Amino acid sequence: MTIENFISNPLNEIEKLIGNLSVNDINSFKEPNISEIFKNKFSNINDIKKIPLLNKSTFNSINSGTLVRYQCMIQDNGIDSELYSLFHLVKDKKTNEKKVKFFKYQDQINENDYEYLESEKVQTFRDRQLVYCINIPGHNSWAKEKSTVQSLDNKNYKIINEKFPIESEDNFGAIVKIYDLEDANDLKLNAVFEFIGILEYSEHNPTIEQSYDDLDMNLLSSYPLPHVHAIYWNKIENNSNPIINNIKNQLVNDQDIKNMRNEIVEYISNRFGGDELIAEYLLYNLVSRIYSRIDSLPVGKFSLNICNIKSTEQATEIYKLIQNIVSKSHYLTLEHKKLNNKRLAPSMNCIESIEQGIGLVSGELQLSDGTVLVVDETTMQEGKIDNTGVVNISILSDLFQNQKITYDFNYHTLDFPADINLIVLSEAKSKLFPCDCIIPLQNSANINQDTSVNEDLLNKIRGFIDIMKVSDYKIDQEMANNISKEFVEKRAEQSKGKQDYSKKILGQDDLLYQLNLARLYTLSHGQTQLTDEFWTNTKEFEEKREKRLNDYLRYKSKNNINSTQQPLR
Amino acid sequence: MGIGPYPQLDRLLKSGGLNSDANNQNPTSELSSEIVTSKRYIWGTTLVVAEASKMFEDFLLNFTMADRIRAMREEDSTVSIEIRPEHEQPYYFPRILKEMNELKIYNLNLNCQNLKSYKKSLPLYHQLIRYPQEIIPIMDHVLTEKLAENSDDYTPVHALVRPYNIGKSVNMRDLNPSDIDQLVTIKGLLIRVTPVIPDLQTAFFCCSNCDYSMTVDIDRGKIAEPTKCPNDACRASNSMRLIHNRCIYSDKQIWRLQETPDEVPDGQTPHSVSLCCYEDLVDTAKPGDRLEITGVFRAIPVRVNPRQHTIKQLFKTYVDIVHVKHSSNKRISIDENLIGENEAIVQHDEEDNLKFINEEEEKNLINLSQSPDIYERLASSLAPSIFGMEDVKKGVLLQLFGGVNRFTGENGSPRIRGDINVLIVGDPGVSKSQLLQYVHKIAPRGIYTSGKGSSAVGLTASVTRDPETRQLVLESGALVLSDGGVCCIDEFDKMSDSTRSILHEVMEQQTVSIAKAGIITTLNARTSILACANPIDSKYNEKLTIVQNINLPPTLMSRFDLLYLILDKPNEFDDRKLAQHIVNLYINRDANNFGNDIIPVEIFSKYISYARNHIQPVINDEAAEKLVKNYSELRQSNSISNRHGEQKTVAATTRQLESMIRLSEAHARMRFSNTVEVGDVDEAYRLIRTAMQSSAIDPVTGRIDMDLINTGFSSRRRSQNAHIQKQLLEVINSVDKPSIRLSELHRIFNSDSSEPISDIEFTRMLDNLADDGEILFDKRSQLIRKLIR
Repeated sequence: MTIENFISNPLNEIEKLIGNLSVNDINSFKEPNISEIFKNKFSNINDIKKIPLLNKSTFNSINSGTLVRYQCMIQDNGIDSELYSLFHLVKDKKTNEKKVKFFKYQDQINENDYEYLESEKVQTFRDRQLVYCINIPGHNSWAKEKSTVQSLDNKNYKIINEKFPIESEDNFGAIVKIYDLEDANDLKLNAVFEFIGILEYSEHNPTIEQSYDDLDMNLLSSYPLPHVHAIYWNKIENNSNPIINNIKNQLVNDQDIKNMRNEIVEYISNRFGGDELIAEYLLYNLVSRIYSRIDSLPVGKFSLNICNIKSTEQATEIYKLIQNIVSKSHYLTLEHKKLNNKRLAPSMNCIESIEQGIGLVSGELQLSDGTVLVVDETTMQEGKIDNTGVVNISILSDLFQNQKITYDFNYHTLDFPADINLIVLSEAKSKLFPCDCIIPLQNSANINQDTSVNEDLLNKIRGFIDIMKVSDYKIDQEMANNISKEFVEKRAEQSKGKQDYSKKILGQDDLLYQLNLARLYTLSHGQTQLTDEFWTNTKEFEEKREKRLNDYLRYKSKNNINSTQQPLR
Repeated sequence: MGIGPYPQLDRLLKSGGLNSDANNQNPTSELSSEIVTSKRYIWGTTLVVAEASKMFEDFLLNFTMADRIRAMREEDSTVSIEIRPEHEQPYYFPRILKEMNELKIYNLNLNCQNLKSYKKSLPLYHQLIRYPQEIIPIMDHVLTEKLAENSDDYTPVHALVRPYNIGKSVNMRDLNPSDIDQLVTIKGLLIRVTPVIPDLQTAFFCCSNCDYSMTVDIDRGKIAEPTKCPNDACRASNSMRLIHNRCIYSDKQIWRLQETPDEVPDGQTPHSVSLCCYEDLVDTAKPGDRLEITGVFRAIPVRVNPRQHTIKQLFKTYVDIVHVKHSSNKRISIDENLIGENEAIVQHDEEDNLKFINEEEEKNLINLSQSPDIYERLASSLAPSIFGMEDVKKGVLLQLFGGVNRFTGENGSPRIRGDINVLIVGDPGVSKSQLLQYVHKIAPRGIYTSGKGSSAVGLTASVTRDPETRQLVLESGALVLSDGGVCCIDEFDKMSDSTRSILHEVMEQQTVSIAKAGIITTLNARTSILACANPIDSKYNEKLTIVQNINLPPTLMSRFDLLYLILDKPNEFDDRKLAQHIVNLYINRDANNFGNDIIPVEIFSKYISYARNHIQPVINDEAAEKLVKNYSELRQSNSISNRHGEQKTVAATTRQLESMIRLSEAHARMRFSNTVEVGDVDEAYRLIRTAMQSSAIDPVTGRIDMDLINTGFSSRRRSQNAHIQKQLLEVINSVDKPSIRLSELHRIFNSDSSEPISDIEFTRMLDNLADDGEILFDKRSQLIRKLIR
């Protein structure tokens, strides 16, 4: 029963914890650890599930003052912190009693019941951090937690379109107020969290008075946006995939893992008309992530360029397949009109207004870590790219090279590290974006969608990918020695005999790439330790891919010669 | 009429307080220069008004610069500033006060460090920090009186004291409730300025019935609107009207200050804070300026609604500015010598420079510079993820320190550049770009650009029309923006010739001249250039000479002080190390496998800034001699051309001599030494020679002897060589044959020794042994013979 009370009227419960205070108690007031009490209350996962989930569809049916769960990405953490007084004197209109009210986790009082009084004596300054959060961009519908509550009455609140990277029906943003400032540094930009807090909004927010004396440049907090007073929060790992635990239990013995992997490759390759090689490399891309960063060098990035794509339709088919198996993905088109008009990277707006956005204005590349970004080059048409377009392209290609995005803050820029799985779909080999790995689609390939949707299998794939993505990985010393030995020998061999200057000899980058590929190969087999077998297999696959790429390039150049000769005849 | 940020208190002090007000029971202050009979405290504080004003008066009259220097010495015994007689003169009185009267400038910039170091005013310093709203008006009052006393023509003025340099600055992220109503200093970037806002100071009311008029002063941000006509004859209620054009207003402006990028923690967006400035300070800064603001952190409550007095529990915070300092010339630590040509420094800035960096940091840096292997440590800390290339890193390191800029003094003569330019030509895939990226990150004012995507105007400056004002404006390009820093240019060879040609001027004269659309001007571009290029066929061609391979016009090439060739030549020893290095990235996740000697980036850049600003090495006599000798040597060895008159190696010109001087200076700077010694010159000479691989060039053909290339050669090993050489001799002597093949010996040696040695080093050691007469080494047959004794 108490759990329900905590959910429906948490402020009441907090008031009970604080007790009745008189003006004289203020100085000796010791605050109970409210977030700890709440955490303990909701230590059971089933109890947590009882807390209503806050999103666009549920917002209308949740009352202000209810405890909510808000799963979101931090879109802007540059909002000014806010100063408030922990206590304030109020008058209870019914009883005409003066009362010291505790103002943590609460901004407004019900003006029918209470009235503000002069309360300089009880002023106790505290500050709190404000962050603006939005629904996770690119969160695919299958990965979202289902909520049953639906209602149709509309509440008056504002959606500031400029603050969302991707246009979507589900876009919903709220200001989260953070009270535990020691932990606030973890709240990094673009990180994904689940906040447990008290929802507050007011339908008739005072209209913003633009007076000359407007010190309150903190415009965001004065708009009629929903607020969540965070009591505590958890970082959402594992790509916010809800089915991960089920799958984990199925992956116990090696045979299971092997079977599952075969099923996955079969599933993907069937979509590509039985092309197993593509399926392999696509899987590598999906399980890759930035493993560590040394200086500015991201170790573990694996951007994939699938070329020889005939049409945009084919490209969208591929995206649909990817969308169906990863929890977060985004399909980026490159029409020059769009590139010229809108910045892909977020930027700060100095002149704040509701038309141009407030604070950090989002761009399509503001995605949380682990999102799969599919860039469709086939959507490019002939046209002129202007200043903004050039900046956009260079930011995108910087993302491919260094996995970082440069945000513009007007008088300076800041680089934010990203961890986005990148796939380019292009007709010819992509010239704009330097990819780690290029693989052409087979000429005959038809992309066919899954006709008989097998949810069970799909869930397996989804879980498998997200589990392996974050698994640890080891190379033992012996293996390491062998690899270095092999590298040295290969180089020595290449330098011997006739020196061909046009041919590049094996270098640092090649070794990095091979090691990364071996890692992804191992992980995609559900294993965490590199073995000799895996190492050789990786090389075999790589040879196959290179052969296909070379064949393709040769074929392509032959065709080109033919086509240029034709007009001569 | 002087109105500071605290008009109500100002007036309270000037008018003699509110004693007549019966409702006000607070003991208020009455300030006059007469004897104060009883102690009067400012309400809510422990301040005694009379004491505070006395202290400040004493400070104004008697403080000397010598006090400041003494206080600094007490704090830190290493400070060695002499007290000269002029330091014993009182600092403010009468000189500055007289100046103020003469110039009719009634703002005094008060350096709080002076206040702090004057023993008798130390309590006042602390009071100022804690109760600025009370103390500053008292100071203003004292100053006004002093000015009046010392002025011949008495015109009532209201002087303002503007305290600054309070000793610590807070990050705006850390401003918290405990700072409310205290004096704080924050640094940041001004991003937005509102138009000037007229701020009502005195309201003028007029009765609509009887035309009786009255004025009401602002009190704590509010005007008490009279509800009744005070005219006894009228007494009409609600008849008073505000007459706008007879009210008195003051200027007010709201600024928005944003965190500077270096202070933003990882993964956070910059925060900003609102500032209010008044009167004189309005429009003293424009968006984009870097400022250091001293002011009072204030919080004002939010009202329930604008028409009510009741307040909510929410507050708006802002800073009332009392002092603005432009910190732009300090931010990136440009060589301070550079300032002075056409930039003005504010005079009172100079005294701040007595102390610039926090002392502890300074001591750490000096300690660091004393460590014997500092050169190696710094070099290996530069882009630690890049393996090998030690000499390249050393060259780039010295580039970051730079030589000394010289102004020859006579009018019109150009300055001699101290900036070092480096060109790296190398095979693809030797992580040139990565090195550039790193330098760009660490260098003061580093700019990164790629030759492929740069146009001439992009590098220099372009003239565009401002869309709003329709005026022509200059937009600075990469080279101008990196004035005083390092400009990294990737893909130098892909640059078009016309673009490249503008670099001629930049690299020697260090200016950019523009003549476009009626704008004819010369901009400074005192920048070091770090460029990267591929050889002509994208891979080094052994069959061509070195000049043919690089394929840059000699005019441009000679402007580079160091020209590195990095060839990707397989070499078992280095390859193995490289492979291990890379595999390790995958074994240790946190990959801190660069060793503990690595100096963290922050300290690294501080070290560089410190050296650039504080060390101006001078060449001593022996070093000068050595320079001359080395130069003539270099010139001889390079004066080879074939019979067609075609140059085969890179020619040495007087530019090389200058380079050597710069590099020696940079090397001395790097070890915090104020003199350039022979050792510095030796290293500079070595760098210049290794940088062209000139020791490896076959003088006849002009080609590089590929077997002698050693890009990964570690100089730390060089010091161990004597020991290894001895081991090698033992191995040779233990062989029971009279002679042994080189390859065989190498194998035996490497299998015995704990650390394998590369081919080149091995051959070099054998050479050394042969030179010492310990063995016979026949290079042709690759045979090593023992000496029979």
